[in-house]
Amino acid sequence: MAHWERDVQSLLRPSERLLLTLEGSYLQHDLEGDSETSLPISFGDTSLGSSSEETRVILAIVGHVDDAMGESGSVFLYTEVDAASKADHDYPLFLQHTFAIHTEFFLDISQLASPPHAHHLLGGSLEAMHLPPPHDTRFCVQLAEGKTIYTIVTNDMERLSSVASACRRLRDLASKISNNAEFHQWLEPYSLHPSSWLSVNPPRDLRHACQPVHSSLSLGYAGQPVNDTADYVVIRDDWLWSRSLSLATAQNASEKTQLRIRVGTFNVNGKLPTQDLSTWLGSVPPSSGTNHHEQKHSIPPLMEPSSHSLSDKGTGMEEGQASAPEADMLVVAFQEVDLSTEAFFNFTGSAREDAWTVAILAALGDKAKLYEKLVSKQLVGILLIILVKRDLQSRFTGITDSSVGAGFMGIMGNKGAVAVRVNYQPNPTSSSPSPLPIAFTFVNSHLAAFDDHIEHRNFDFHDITRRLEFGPCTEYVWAPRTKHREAEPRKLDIYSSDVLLWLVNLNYRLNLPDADVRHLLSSTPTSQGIHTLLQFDELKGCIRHSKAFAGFDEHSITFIPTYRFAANTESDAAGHDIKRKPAWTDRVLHKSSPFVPVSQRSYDAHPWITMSDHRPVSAEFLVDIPCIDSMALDLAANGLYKSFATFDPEDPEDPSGVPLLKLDKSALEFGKVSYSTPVSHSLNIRNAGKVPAAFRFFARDHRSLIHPLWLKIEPMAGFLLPGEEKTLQFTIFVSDTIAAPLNLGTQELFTLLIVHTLFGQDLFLSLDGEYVSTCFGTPLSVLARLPGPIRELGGAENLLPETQVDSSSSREFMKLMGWLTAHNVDAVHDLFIAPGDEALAAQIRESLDTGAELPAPTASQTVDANYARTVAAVLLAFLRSLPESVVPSSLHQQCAEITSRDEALEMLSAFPPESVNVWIPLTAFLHLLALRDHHQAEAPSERPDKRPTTPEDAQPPKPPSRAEILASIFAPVLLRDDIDAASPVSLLGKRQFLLFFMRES
Amino acid sequence: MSKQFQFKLVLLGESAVGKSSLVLRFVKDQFDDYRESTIGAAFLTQTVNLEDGTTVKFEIWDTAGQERYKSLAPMYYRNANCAVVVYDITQSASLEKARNWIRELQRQADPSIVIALCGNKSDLAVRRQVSQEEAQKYAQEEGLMWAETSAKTGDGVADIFTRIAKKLPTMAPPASRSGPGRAGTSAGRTGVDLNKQQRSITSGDQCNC
Ligand SMILES: Nc1nc2c(ncn2[C@@H]2O[C@H](COP(=O)(O)OP(=O)(O)OP(=O)(O)O)[C@@H](O)[C@H]2O)c(=O)[nH]1
Ligand SMILES: [Mg+2]
Repeated sequence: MAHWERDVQSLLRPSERLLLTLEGSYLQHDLEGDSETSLPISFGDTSLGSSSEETRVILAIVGHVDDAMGESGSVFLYTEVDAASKADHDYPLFLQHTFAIHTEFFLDISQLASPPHAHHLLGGSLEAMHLPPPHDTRFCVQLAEGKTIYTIVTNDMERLSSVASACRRLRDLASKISNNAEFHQWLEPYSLHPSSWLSVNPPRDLRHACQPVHSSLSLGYAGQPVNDTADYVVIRDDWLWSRSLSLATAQNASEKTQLRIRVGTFNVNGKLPTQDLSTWLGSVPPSSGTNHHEQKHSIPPLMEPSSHSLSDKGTGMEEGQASAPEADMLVVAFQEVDLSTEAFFNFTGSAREDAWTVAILAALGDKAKLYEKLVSKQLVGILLIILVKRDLQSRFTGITDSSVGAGFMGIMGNKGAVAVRVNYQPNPTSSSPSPLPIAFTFVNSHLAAFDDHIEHRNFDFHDITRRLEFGPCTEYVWAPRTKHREAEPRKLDIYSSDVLLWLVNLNYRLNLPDADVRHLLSSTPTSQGIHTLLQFDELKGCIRHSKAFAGFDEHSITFIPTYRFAANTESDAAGHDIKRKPAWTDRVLHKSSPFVPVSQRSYDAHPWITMSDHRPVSAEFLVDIPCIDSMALDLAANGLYKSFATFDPEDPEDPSGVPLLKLDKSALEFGKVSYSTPVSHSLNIRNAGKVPAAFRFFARDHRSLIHPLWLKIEPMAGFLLPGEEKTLQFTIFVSDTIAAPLNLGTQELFTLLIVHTLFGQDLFLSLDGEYVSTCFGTPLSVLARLPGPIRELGGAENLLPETQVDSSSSREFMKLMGWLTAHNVDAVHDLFIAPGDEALAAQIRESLDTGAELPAPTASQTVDANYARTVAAVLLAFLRSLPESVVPSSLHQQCAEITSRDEALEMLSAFPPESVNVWIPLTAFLHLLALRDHHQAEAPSERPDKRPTTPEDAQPPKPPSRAEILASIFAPVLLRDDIDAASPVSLLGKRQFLLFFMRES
Repeated sequence: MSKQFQFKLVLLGESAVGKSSLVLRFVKDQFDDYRESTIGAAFLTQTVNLEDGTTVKFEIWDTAGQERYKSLAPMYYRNANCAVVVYDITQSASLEKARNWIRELQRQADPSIVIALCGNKSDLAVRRQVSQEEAQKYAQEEGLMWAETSAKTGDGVADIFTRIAKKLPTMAPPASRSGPGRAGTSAGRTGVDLNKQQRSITSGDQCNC
């Protein structure tokens, strides 16, 4: 019997309880109409023997407890799915009917005498039931609702009498309730197919929910679909989820609530709390925190606030306001709370945790009483504490946690992760009486510190992700998908959530030389240095290339690196330990479902909390809690489910049941398309068939892309019911990196796209644009070989032979350069800094491509400063657009190492001629500008210092000279940075190289 | 148990010669006077039962004949076991196009491919521009099967497909499955796998053992 119970249990929603089951065989089902006349039932020609043909039935009494209305019950009647079709079925049992136990509930029990053909009814109703006990006596149970009557035969008398008494009890309960309809509302989802109970499924895997569906499909090519069956299911299910969610959400759009979550991460280096943590935890707004040291800090700050210029600068976020809004939830992550040997062996108790909890509460001050600790989890040095507002505490349910060790000595857990998963139950409203819970997962991880190989650190991430598991989670329905799979609650991974917040302490570095890092951090404004440095951040690189933390979002960082600060060692101008290259080791990343929008309101470091070698980092999130009613979601899903459930694309019963999609155009003409200017066109795809259809775009073969790089298609896959239509958007965008072959006419804006109908035909779509060539995005070596303006080239075959280019240079560059040197523009102090006039810039660009004169300056005689700025801006944009850096990247390292002007001049002989022809006039012009320095009275330093940021000479921060400013603008353009390089070239070295040409010898 | 084979067949030829019409006649025994030109590649299947009890299932790719889609044709004839190259007997230019297709197939397609040259629209014999002798001679030289058909009346249609079916099993091993991927394992997803997610291939892979 037990296995029936388990099967039945697996087909119930978590809100229901299985009270009893009874096994029997299915006798008869009288439908409305003649049921009256067929009572009492004739068993005359029905075999009641245990023949293999008879269908077994399970009668289950199911209870439901409602806060307002108390307990109610129902009889569920299941039939066994017969062996033949079992393989095809998702569920072992089929729900035939549910009978609400209300006052009209009818159950009749009678005895069947053996032999089966001679029968008499005991005429018993529910009340008058006294059964004689003979052993193989069989009983006949009749259930009726309206005119629907089921008859079941069983010989399990014992259970039958329990069933009868349970029914009697539940009916008595029902008789005390006036509103029967509402009393049994919980039965509604059981009229649906269990597959459409989306509300009791775990949330969709965030990796799929956040990505366009086509990225989850099999590889397939024109004429060779690899796996339409699986792809069809993926596309359809994606459609079902998002369509159901939006149907269920839209109805309650105005009822959204928000949850404010404050998170903090802090590597405390084994210390116990000695400082006030209130700014970090947000109970004191950081605007007063900037003056904090003057007021109540027991430990004076290490440095002047000015060196942390960012924390007192408005970052555009709300933290500058006078009183910070209170968080509903505080998620506090610590690393290295315990460095003792005992801790490595997991022998220590909760003393450290207690100390930090007290410190958190102390930091909350008066507000501490508003909060309650919800959960905490520790693994050696890694500690996660979650506090919530006391009045919200009961809304957080299903709390589970997990922890894994990783990395060096991983088993002992000095590195690894702890995680907590919790469901937030939104407030019921009138239109959403049973809102869908929102699942949050919080991870606190400390990744390997000693490993030099970034691959190993990435491995740790993947390993942790795989091994963190929650559960078994009983709040979801775990229906068996096939007969082979157990219907037991399963474990969930971190991605089965709606919101995933990852607080991480990791050893990802800055991929730049130490001196560069310190120099950039001490330059003013610091924000620029930070911006430059972040491009070389290893974690950002890993996210960019999907090597670790793929698809996670991180708010922009405006604080200086949070590691390493040491009290007793020498530090640089920014306060970082000179022995350890500074890095952003403490980070907050997040990922959330499109239906639960999360916005980050702050991301800060807290320099006045100086007790550790790390600085704590905080972030605040506002989570829009959608109001999705569970019942509405399931009903919506069921409606959609019915629209395709009967159709089996592999085996259409009706031969006309072949999926048929039509495009309303077979060609898209884009007309003129210019460089760096997006142009969009759209068309409609319509389901012209009689059955649901899915589509996706295909590549021609395994060597080809689905579409050229200059094209974007949105969406790339979709699902359409018969008659439905969807708009596909096509956008052409020619960026710097792909413009060159188009500019030369070796490639055209033409492509044939293949739209594959799953289980059906491929549709072709031709797409055509007329590209307007430009010098932008074209290599210098090619521009030097142009016989005239690029628009008049008419094909790469018309380029001048390579031997002729030695003396020539880009005509376009010379035109801009010529104008700048011919006019007295050095007085325009923000040349190359201010953007200029965009409309004028467009005219100038056009004149470069057509060979026309530069447009006449507006004020004819005097040089208009704005005109000069615009020409300068176009020149800079031109240099930036070159597909290859002016100085070939193979020479960058050598250039950066040069220490004298003579060596620098010698270096020019290694440059390609077209680069020399740009380099010399440009640096000569920059030299002229540098002579006219607006910031410094004296001429720039003759002997430039290659390492200006050693602690000794860093003291009074001088404003940078004009030469330095221009060098910091042009060096990354002329010697373009490779942010993904394995061994980075010093940015300072590159600037220095440029400065040799800009300064007087 | 009788032998079962499955083959990939591709139709090639100039636009409007009647490729789609031939397939429609063969698969559904229907004819349309006004057919839209194919912009894509349609996939259909049809089974032929031979006298010896062998069944041959054709997975048919009907391609677009318009010149602008020519570059996509190789995607559909690669791995094909047989090709039906169609011309229109009332358009001599269409035979020229057919010759080009045949040359391309001989160069690029699977060397064991069975090629049938098919002169369609035989019901329009009064407007004939391509003589039977000319086409037949060419087919003999190149070692191709040849027939005239009418998708409109149905003349010769079943016949040519049956001849191909007869020729195939004796000389080529059964094709590996190449039709729209109904095979393979599916990635089960939490939540909503509503229908069966996978079905193992049955008929297709039953081999000639
Ligand atoms: N009289 C006659 N007309 C035919 C025959 N076969 C096709 N047609 C007509 O010829 C026209 C073109 O036929 P399709 O089958 O669309 O030609 P297709 O080769 O598929 O053309 P594309 O799809 O453009 O490559 C249609 O109007 C058909 O009705 C035939 O045997 N006799
Ligand atoms: Mg056609």
